[in-house]
Order: sequence, then structure tokens, then C-alpha cells
Amino acid sequence: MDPLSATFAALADPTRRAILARLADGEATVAELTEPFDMTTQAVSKHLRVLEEAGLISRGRRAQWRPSRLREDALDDATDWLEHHRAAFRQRFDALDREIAAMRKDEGNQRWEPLS
Amino acid sequence: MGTTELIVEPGRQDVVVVHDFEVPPELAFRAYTDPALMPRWKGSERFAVVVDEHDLRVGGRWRLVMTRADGTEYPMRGVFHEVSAPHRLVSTLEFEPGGPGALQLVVETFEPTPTGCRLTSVSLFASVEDRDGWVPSGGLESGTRASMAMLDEVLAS
Repeated sequence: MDPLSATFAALADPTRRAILARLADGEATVAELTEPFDMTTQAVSKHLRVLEEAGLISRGRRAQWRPSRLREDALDDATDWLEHHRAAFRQRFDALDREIAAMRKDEGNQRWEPLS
Repeated sequence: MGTTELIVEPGRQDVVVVHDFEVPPELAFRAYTDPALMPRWKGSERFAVVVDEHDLRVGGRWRLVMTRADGTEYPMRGVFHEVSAPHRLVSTLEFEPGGPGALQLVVETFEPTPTGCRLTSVSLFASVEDRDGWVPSGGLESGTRASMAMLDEVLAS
């Protein structure tokens, strides 16, 4: 999976979005993240692994605690990508509008300035 | 320039594009369906467009190839199901290698407005999964609204 697909796939899950929302307030350990959810530590760990693989969070290397941290630049990449494609779509229609304007001008010339 | 809106609602199996033209439906329809013009507006900096076939009549086939700068080709094709110039066009669309999105039914309507006309293009997929599969990798926007809503939710909290 390419990085952006991984990001969007990771964001598609409500629990993972809730985890990200919690991490937006600051780093947290697995135990702290498990607390508000009706879930096992293993289940939360699994979600954290998906978020880490998607580049949305980074995790400390202290084996016992491994606090998770939100990587805001990854969210920026996702937003940029959406904006890029949205812009590409607009550009296409702007290009079509220009072609139509050109067509109109040509036809106007034919109509009003016939070749003699 | 007219305005363009792209609507990708979460959980639905369609993608809707709305564009307001500043010309009447007759002219907009003619330009939109002119294969000679397509290479000049359907491509982008990243993709060149070549129209292979464009038989604009009921049962007629169309085929175009989008080519990326590195030479990778993305051929797509379909059949026109209804051609009611200048108001309505119904066609199918699919990637030739059976790519993302599988088969789409595309209904395009041109309605007169006080300033010109409005094109509403509805691409209907067989399932939400097909739609979501098409949106990120098809060169269109990713599940734009869905994803933006998710991002908003995360960033607002």
C-alpha cells in the first residue's frame, strides 16, 4: 500500500481517530490509551501499530512504556494530497472553459467577419 | 471561469461533480463531447490524454488512454447508453485492465441557468467499496469529503 492509502486506511477507523484525538493532547502510553476504551491492551496495541505504519504516530523506544506521539506532518501530507487533486480537477474544467471561450471567438469571427 | 464542485459523501456509492458553465447547454455539451478538444482539457501536467475512439451515439463505444510522464498507460473505455444532446448523456466507464472502481454508470445532465448552464455528472458504482477504491487511485480526489471530515474531526479535537 502506498503511504497515502495507508494514511487514509488508518484514518477510516473510528477507534483510531479517537486515539489520534487523544494524542493531539500529548503523548500517552498504551495503558493510558486503553483506559477510555472498552478494549484490551492488545487491541489498542494493534491499532497503534496500524497508526505507526501509516506514519501518523511515532512511538518511544523505551520497551516498557513506548509512549505514542501524534505526527502532525503526516496529517499535513494527507491534506495537501487532497488539495492537490481537488485543484487538478478544477484545472481541467478551467481548461475546458478556455476551450469553449476560444470556440466562441472562432465562431463569432466566422459569423461576423466572413472571409471575402 | 465557472465553478467546479466535487462531492464524495461518505458511505455512498457515487461521485458527483458539478460545474457551472458560462455558456448555454448547446455549446457546453458540444465542447464537452468533442473528442478533438479532450486532449486539451482532460489531461494535466501529469497525464497526457489520447482519444482512440469516440462514437457519440446510442451503443457507440469510446476509448481513451491517459499516459503518465513515465510512459505508464491507463486505458479506459465504455459505451454510450443515451445521447440526448444537449441535455443528457449516459455512458459506462471502466479501466481496461479491470482497474480500481470496476464499472461505473455515468449520468451527465446539462441544465440551463440564468448565467449559462450547470453540468451535473453522477458516477454510480456497484458498491461503496468500488467507489472508495476508485477515488484515491483513479486520479480523482480521494474520498474527499469523507477524509476531510475525518481530518477535521482529528484536528478539531
